[in-house]
Amino acid sequence: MFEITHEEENTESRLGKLTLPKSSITLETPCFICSTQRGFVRHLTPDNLLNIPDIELLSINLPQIIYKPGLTTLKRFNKYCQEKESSIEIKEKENQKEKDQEIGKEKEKTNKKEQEKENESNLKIGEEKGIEIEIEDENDNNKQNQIKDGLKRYYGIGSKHALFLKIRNSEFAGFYYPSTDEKIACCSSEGTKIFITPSQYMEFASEINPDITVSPAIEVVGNNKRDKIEKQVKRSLKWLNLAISKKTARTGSLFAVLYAIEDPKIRNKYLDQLLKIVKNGKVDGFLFGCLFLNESRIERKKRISEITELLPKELPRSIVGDATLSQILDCVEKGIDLINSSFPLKLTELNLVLNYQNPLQNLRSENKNKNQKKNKNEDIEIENENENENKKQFEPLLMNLRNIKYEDDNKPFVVGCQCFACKNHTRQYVYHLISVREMTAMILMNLHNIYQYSLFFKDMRWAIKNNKFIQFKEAIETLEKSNLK
Amino acid sequence: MSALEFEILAKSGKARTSILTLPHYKVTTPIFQPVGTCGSMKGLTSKQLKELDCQIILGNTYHLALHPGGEFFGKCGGLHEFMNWDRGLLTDSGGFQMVSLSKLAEVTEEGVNFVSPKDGSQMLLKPETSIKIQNQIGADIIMQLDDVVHVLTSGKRLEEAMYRSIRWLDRCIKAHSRKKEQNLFPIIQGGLNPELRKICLKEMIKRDCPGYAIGGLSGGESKDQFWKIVSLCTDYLPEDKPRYLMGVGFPVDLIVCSVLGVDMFDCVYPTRTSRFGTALVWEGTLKLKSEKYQFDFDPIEKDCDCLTCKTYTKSAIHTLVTKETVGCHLLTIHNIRFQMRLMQRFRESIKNNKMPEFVRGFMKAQFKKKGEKKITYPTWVIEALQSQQIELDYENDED
Repeated sequence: MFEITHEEENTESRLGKLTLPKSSITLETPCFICSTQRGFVRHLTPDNLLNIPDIELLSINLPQIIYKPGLTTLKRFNKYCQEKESSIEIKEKENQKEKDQEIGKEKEKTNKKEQEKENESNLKIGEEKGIEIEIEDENDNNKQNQIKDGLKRYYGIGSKHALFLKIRNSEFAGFYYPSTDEKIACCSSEGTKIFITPSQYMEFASEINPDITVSPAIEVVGNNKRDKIEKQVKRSLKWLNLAISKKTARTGSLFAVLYAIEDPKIRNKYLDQLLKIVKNGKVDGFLFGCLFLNESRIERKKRISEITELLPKELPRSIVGDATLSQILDCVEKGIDLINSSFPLKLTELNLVLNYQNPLQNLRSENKNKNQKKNKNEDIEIENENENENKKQFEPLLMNLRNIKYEDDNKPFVVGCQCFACKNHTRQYVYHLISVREMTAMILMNLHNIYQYSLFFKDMRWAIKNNKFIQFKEAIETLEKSNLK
Repeated sequence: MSALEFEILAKSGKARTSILTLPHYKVTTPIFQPVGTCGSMKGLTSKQLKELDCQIILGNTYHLALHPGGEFFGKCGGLHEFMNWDRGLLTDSGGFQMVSLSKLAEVTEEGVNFVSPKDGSQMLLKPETSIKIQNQIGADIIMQLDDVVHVLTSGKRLEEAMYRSIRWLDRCIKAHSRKKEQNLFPIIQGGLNPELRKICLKEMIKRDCPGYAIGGLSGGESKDQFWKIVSLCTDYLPEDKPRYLMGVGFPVDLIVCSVLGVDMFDCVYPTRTSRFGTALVWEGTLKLKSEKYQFDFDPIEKDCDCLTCKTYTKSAIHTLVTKETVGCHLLTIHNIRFQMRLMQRFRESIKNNKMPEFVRGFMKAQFKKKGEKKITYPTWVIEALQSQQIELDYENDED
């Protein structure tokens, strides 16, 4: 499931591969989980979403879909899909019977032999690479990639994306509704109060059919009194055991919630009990809760590192929160693999465009040049190139496209960016769309921001692989500071 | 002088299907033109528009002149470059918006004196300014500035408006500086008065323009009068030039007017209703906000090939519509595709010599109701189609 491929020399960050067999997707971590609203990345229809190549994991917050579509609709939809599938299968079997009668028996035998050989060779390749390959059906090669039911099919999320299901209690929507021993209090997207029991949550999960489910828990919010915190921590262990008992292939892999609370005593007591449960092998990863709630940066780093010291290395760790670039690097430095945030969307809604600017460009070209260095003349040429690049006009990390200076600017958002918006449209066009309040502006900016965010993650993975994480982090911090000028 | 070519491929009575070759694209008519007001089609990218088979879209000169402005287009090379759209474009003159959106619009012989509702500033829109801005925008087809009056006006004011439109047409033709790249269409006025319409037709046809538009309709008149005026205009307009009926876009109207010989249409209806959750289908409309679609797992239309119908069910769209912007985009995609397919099937029916059957089948699907043995059609539809020897089917054989 999760395999560590490289551990960075100077920090605790690591490169890994997370396989999600349900969707036949292998993610390279650290990676970005794109947050969605009701299963859709806001403003983007599925064909637009496919224009961003590196987004593979999407997160859904259950309270958003609890009324519409709701449990009954999903159940009926799944039944409908199954009935359709079975009727298609019956038809196919009938067709095949006719075919078999037409073709002679000898031909059948030769076909089978060829298929067996193929299967054997597939298995051999699989064994060499250490990855399982499913043997293909005789009839339909596309059956693997067809999503049969669940929320993915309902919302047309497609075979390229995987689902990460979580539940956030009402405090995150700005309302305080007290949860009880039996129920979690949430806020639906219509703004109403709902209570979900953990077993209802798991029932939902099995209808949604996600790849990863986070165990039901109340993410404790900061200033609660000590005994309240202890209660909620006990509840989450109870609910984790319930979730394990209801875990099936349909609910996917299970991630347990870690409480990165301030008080180390409660935290460590909880961790002890949690790790005992984890030893049984039913928990497949962790989610850090209680972070990005107005604690300071140093405090956050401290809490994360104190916890990751005690966690088993071979299980992936994820975190949820609206983190800026350098804050993400704090987390990854201490060993976190999956980051779920809606930061690009927030930028879009403020009409800000991310200009990530590839700070590792020089480092990457240095590496190449080291391998190719032969003549002194070449060195001089390369130095000159770097100087010219540094003399380029200063562009901030975040560009506010409401600024009138973009009225005459016919460059794409970021020169050299390969996203759909930059290849097809210019800054002045989007400036115009924002001023007349057209929706297309949001689509183009969101596409661009998410694309640039995923470039950031790519660079991060390169930095870990080449043991240059600390230089990368410094480059990002100077980028962010320069934006504040 | 004209910058277009018009070749009729097949005819069926007054209806015809043709190829209209514009400077930027070859358009097949009869065609529906979606409206992309300020340089974009509410939430769709140019790539999606191409997949929907949009061949020519409309831009509103009034909005584009306010922002970013005519001079801007002069600098940046036109609206095609600006929005990265390489197919056909049509701009209207700005006259209609000025009259419908402002409270104080004073019309004089010189032009329309307009008071902006935002800051009270005055602006004079003359035929020359309208044409100048449209020249800068660079669309394939541009419209004259006409004296727009409410369709139910009659008497002296209507007559004055009609004669003034002719005079303004001459001024527009004189001011037009890109005759080889842009086609200027006159707009036939005259309200609901057949005599005034005939005078206007005769005069404007004398100017020998590349194509003609029929204006002054689609604003609250009774449909009986509406179809008769349309039919009168198509009787008089030259056969070998395209005819554009402005502001008409409900599916039934599109088919009836295509039967009467119109080639081009435009309307905000499909894009606007999608934002309220209404989907257009062969049988009429579906209000997807209603609770009865919560458990309906069929696509909106089974034979539609748009992205929405191939991937989503009515139930999924019902949960999204008016709540997420994506719901609005998905419905817009379907509605525009519906209009395009409707026109495409009409064109094919003319080529295959089966236009009357197609119209009969379409009208039956639109107007039949469950439980009624006989189908009742609106009188104007019956009469308009009878004028072209198409008889409708009154038996409701329920499937």
